[in-house]
Amino acid sequence: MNSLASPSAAPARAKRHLPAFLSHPSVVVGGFLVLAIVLMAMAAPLLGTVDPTRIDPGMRLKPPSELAWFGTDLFGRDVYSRAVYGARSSILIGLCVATAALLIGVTVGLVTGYFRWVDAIVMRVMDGLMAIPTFLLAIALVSLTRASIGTVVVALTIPEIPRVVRLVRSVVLTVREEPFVEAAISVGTSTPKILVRHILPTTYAPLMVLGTYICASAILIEAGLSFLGTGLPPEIPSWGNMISEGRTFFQVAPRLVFLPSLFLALTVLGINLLGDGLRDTLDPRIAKRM
Amino acid sequence: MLMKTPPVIEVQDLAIPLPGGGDRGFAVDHVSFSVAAGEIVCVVGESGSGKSVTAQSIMGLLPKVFPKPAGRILFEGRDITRAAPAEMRDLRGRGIGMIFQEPMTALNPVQAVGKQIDEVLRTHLRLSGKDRFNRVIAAMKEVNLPDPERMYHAFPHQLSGGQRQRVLIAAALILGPKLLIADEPTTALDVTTQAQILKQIRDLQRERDMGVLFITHDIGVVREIADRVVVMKAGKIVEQGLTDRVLDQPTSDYTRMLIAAVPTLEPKRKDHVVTGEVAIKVDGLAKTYHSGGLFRDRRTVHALQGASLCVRRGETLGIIGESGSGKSTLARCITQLIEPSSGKVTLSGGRDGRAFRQRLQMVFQDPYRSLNPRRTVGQSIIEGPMNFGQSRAQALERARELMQLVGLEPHAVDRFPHQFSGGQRQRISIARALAMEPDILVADEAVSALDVSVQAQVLRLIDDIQKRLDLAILFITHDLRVAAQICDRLIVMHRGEVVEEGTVASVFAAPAHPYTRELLASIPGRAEETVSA
Repeated sequence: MNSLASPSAAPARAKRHLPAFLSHPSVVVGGFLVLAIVLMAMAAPLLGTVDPTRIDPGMRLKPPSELAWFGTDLFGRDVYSRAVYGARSSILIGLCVATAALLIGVTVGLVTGYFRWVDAIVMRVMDGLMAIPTFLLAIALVSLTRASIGTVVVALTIPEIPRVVRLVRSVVLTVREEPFVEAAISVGTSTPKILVRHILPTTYAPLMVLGTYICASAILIEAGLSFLGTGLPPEIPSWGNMISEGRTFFQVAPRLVFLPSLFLALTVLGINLLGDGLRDTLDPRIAKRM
Repeated sequence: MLMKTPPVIEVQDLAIPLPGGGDRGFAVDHVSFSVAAGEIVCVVGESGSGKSVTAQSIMGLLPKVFPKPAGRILFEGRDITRAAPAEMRDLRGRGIGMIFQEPMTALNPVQAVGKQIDEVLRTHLRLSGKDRFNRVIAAMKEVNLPDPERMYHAFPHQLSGGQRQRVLIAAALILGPKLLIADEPTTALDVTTQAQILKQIRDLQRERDMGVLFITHDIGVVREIADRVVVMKAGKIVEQGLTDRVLDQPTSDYTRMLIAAVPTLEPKRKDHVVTGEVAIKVDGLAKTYHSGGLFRDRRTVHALQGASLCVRRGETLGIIGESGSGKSTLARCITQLIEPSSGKVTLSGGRDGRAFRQRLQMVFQDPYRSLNPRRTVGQSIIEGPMNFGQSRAQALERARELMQLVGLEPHAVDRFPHQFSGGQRQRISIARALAMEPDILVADEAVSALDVSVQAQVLRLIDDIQKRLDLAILFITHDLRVAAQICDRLIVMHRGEVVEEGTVASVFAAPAHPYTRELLASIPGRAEETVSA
């Protein structure tokens, strides 16, 4: 839409932010953790894993050995392989929920922030959405349709949208009064162009930060849903599923719970650290608003 | 007589290094001056001259980015640069009082103003609640705040700008400090209020025989209030001495330039004959705001009540008024940035078939905010022409020409706004407006945010461009000196109404409306000039 806008503007900004980014300890540590987990998820077949869904009744609840590095679970599946593959579903869900919530939230937020008459209506709808408990919505959706990644993504996205809308709206409300927006109006720029060209770029920094938080919370909630048995179907390896299944044998074989919990904790820690670091370097003001 | 009293504050060889990356080594570069009891010393200089940093270092309020200053600051003979934080805290308020530029932000918006004055007493003295209340009321009476008992409980937003500044003065002076530091205390105020506040400071200073360090950029204010003047430029003192001597026989070129840059009240366009056709006609334009709603009382504000005007090509019409007079509302109604409640705007003459937004363009007040910081100035300039179908290459070519026309390098189109100074940015804003090849230019306080020397340059540019392009200009300003430089005719606005209209010379020489007379009388430094009809 604005071929002339972004390319030349973006590098100059990136150059200004890059050193601050890289010197912030949270960004370095968090970024390293996230990168490691993402690489692990992508390279799962190459990391000495076996088929995470293969059931072997003869190998039930075996302790760690050369064949199964972290032992096997109740159905004889390899715990290590399932934990490594589990990263795929967690990261997929985290990314999908964050992307979907940001896309929808930004569109709605831009429109509600700019047009006052839409604002009154849409924000009440958002208030309604915010009142829906994530878990109840997910349980309802899963029991109405069937357990799948898509259902879980939808269930997790809906309650996140109002947070994005509120953030974008608050930025738009302040920016639209800026003289440079009035200047754009007075040279005859159309409203959609003003929204995309002049107002949207001001929301990038806070959105990046909010995006990481949404991603982390989606991963956590997915694990929680799977633990309750209303998340992903049991055959898909996911950390929540593993913790749920391992719970019964916790006293006999704590390793069943230990490995997925460790991965889950590290992932969420990494994403949150990254988000905190981005917030500090990109937009210190947002720290107060969150 | 002034020299005999010992100095209250003596600054000796004060040097404050600028943190890395600045355009010069020192924010304040080995500066020495003093203020004696019973005198007002004005520090005058343009933005970035280091005058505010000097004041902050005297108060011990230097922002943390600055390293520790070198040199000595003697308060009644004692070096306060070495004072402990607790000593400084005691000195502030008791020994030195300070007032600031923006009275709205200097007051806490969620605390009653009386309580804020009271805070000084609570911090420094042990008094009963009743004694404190009485002293606060007495202090408020002293600065002529109306009905102090009631105003004690008012919040800052319920007060006018002048009243807020009075509250700050009351708080600064309640403990009877020996020195008052005033950092541009009247810059954010209207001229009529400014005149009152200046008189107030003058009176209190005489009554209490205190020293005042008054920081300003306005030579007119200096003339009005100062006993002695210190002229600063780029962190250095270029000249200091008695006010009459410095202003009437300046020894440095910089001081001469500063004085010469202050526009005179002599109407420049007395002999300018306007023959152009009518470019814009405004009939009974009004704007009414309604506030409140379902659960609150409905309130109606008449921001603009039936303004009519007409401007010919080649003519500049000045719209004069203070804040809240409706002049900006008028400009925004004319430029269709807001919808007027009634009345109409007709553009006539000029080439037909062009859109409204092509024929009428606007230059905004704040050059720091009217350009999108994320886009190059070239992108900002070509945005308009491209909206109306010009090709990118064509528009960019024209943008380079315009940059040259407004006195900037043509290749600077690839730079971002933050790489330009305020004056340069305002030139860019003008170039952006001209890119649309308008017939009518609306300039809303277009030179108010600029230093006087830059202001003069931008005024010359506007004047020059008007002649070349035969523009009709609506020039909105609160500054009568600026209006005298560039306008052919004036309309004076007060509370949303046009109260006076006429040529600059006739309005200045024989103002008909009392408000116009008050405006004219309030111009700082006016006594030195005579206005000829």
